[in-house]
Amino acid sequence: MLGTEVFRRFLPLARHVNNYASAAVDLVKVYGSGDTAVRALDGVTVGFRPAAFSAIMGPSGSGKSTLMHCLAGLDTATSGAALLGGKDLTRLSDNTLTKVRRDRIGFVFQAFNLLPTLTAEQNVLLPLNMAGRKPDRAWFTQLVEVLGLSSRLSHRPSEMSGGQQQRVALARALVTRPEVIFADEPTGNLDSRSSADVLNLLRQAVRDFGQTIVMVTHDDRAASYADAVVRMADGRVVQAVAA
Amino acid sequence: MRRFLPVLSISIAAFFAYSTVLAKDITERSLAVKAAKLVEVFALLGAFVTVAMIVAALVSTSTFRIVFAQRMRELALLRAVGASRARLARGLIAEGALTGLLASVAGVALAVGAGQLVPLAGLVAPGFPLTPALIVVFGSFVLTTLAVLAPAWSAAKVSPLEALRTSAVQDTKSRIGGLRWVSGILMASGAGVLLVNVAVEGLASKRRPAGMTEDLLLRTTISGALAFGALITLGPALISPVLRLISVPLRRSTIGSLAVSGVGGAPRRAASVTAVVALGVSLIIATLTGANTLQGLGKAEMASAYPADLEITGPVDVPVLRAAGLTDVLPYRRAEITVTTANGQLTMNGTDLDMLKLRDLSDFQVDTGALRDMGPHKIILSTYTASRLGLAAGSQAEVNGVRMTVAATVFGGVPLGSALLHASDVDGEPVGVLANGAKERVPAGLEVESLTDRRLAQENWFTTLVAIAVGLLFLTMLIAVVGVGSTTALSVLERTRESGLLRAIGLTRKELGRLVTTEAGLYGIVGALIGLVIGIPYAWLAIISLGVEWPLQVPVVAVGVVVLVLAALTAGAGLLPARRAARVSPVAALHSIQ
Repeated sequence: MLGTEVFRRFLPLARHVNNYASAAVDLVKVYGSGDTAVRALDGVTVGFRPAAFSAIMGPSGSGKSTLMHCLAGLDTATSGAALLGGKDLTRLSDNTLTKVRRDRIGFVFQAFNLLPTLTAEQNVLLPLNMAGRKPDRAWFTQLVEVLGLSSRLSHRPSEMSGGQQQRVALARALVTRPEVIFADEPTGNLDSRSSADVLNLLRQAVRDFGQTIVMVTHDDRAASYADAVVRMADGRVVQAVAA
Repeated sequence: MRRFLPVLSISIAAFFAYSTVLAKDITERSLAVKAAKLVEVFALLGAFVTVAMIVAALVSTSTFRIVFAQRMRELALLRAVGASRARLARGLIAEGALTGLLASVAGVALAVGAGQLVPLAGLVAPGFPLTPALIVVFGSFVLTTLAVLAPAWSAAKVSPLEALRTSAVQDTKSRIGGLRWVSGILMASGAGVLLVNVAVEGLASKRRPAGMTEDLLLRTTISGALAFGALITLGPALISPVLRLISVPLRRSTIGSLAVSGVGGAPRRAASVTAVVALGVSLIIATLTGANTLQGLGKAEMASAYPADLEITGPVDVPVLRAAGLTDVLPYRRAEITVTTANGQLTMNGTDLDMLKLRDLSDFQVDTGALRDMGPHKIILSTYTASRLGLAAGSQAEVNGVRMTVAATVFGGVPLGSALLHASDVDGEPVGVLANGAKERVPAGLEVESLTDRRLAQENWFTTLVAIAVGLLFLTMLIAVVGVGSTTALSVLERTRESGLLRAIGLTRKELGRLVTTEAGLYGIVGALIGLVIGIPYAWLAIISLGVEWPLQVPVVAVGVVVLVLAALTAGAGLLPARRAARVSPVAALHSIQ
């Protein structure tokens, strides 16, 4: 199979696990049991380089979201390893995993998922507050300026456009300087102009701040912004392309 | 299960109502006669059942609102495929009324079941009074139907376009319409005007024409009802200032401030839940404060009616009594006196008892003047007698033709008669003594009466009555707590995505659970605070209306305990929803539509 060939050539993973910010080794995820069991991930081995913008592509049902959820410590795997900075997340307790997400991972979702009762600023600072960490004011100000949110800080999500809300979500993900940001269809709810806007900002975060970003998308145009693209189908990696 | 949440409170109220009927049945069977005092108790019970019913109806209205709001998409879809507004509303009302009917039957059945357990406590088993059962079921059914009307109609107004929206319905509006403002302010000012009116009139008139007390009490009740109406109408606008006030200590922690914004984020919902809690709390606080005040008065009246352990009448030898081991032996002489003032003339019994030497002196409360000022040509009167004669400490009156000065006036009466004179103003031999000690120590042949026994009997009756009243009100509170629980449960369901996000970006299971319980507790605290602010003035107003000559005494400790217990209960009501919220995996939560 072509996919396996390609992946053998590009990813001698087992020996170089530490070169990747995030990686999956023979990751299997089965939903349900018996006849109705679905293998959402069927032995996925893949790695994402640090300070790069990677995209996971595939049609719906390909397992791309499940892969992301396992790598981000949101979901448990049936077998295999989900590595963050070389450390296996599948063996951690729920509490430790929560702290890993809080301190080392950032999230951007399709539906923005801002808290409706908090202002933009409060939403951005939420992960830091949860961790009881003091915000780095200079970093915060820089982020807010880069993302063009300076005049929106006191607004609530209901007073902002989709593009603006997604930029707030991006700031929320970046503010903790996480090892990896996982973006799940970040442009799925946006018009084309806001989409381009958000994708440019994601790329800028990689280029200027050395941020690692892994984006799940089914949109070719969105994927074209990425440095590397992993294609999935039926729970397997079918192609891995480095830009 | 979710469909039955709105009528849970109705079930409890129906249970409560029919239990009262059964309790009455048991008492009548075991006593065979209807004691006069019991009639009063059951009248009181009836009043509490009414309050419980009102609370239950309010709780279910607000819960119906939430349940319908969650079905907005389904309803919008029905509208989109051609259901008319009226048809949709009819459907929702029918559904609400049906669940209400089931809930009331369940409540009555539960009460009957509980009644079967009564023989275990050694009492007579109750019968099954059919007519009251039907009345309770029908009453709760009607109440539920009324409660579902407004939520059903506003839910039916949903635009068909809502069906296409993906995000959950959010109730973030704290603004209330102009009409609501106007009617709320009208009610509030009506309540205020009546309050001032009752206070002024009640305080001014010392001698009341027949029916005035009832009239003042009626006005107090109307004013209270108006105040509560104003609270419900203006509630959403009041929530955020009250929250801001009490949330200061919570703001320091992330979970605290998230809880505050969660409660403040749905002001309408918060308003209706806290209004119900406030109603319960204000009634409990008013009862406690009223009881405490009456108890203070009662204590003084007791002290005046039963000033010592023993009263020995007839000619007595003080040294002999002391030798027998009795303490505080106080002989007194009696005199019939006529007091004349510009306001009129009263004839009464007076003694020369030296009040300062009484053991229970601290139970008395001096209104004007001081007991120490007593001396020759001076007189001490009860506040009641003094006000009838237009006297206060320092004013003068003719006593049996002699000019005397009032040294002090005492709330609740003076011992052994209506007035106390100085020893130098009374002639003759002592006619009796007051003494403390055991009855058995009194030498044989003397006429002695134990005042302690009589005092205890009286005090017990009062304490029991207060305990029953507060207990019943706590049952009412239970309905409010159930309201907090179901509101929290539904608001957790509605915000599943939000909890998913919080879990994803770093809130642990335990912290999420704490967040939900804090929100539930906040409903309780906000309600309790509003209840305090309303309850205490109305307790005072009720005391004034009753024409009780006694200052208001707020039982600070008891009130504090009520507020704390309530906060704990409501936070406890959040435990189940909290567990539920914490169990959901972040992935599942993030992908839920609601």
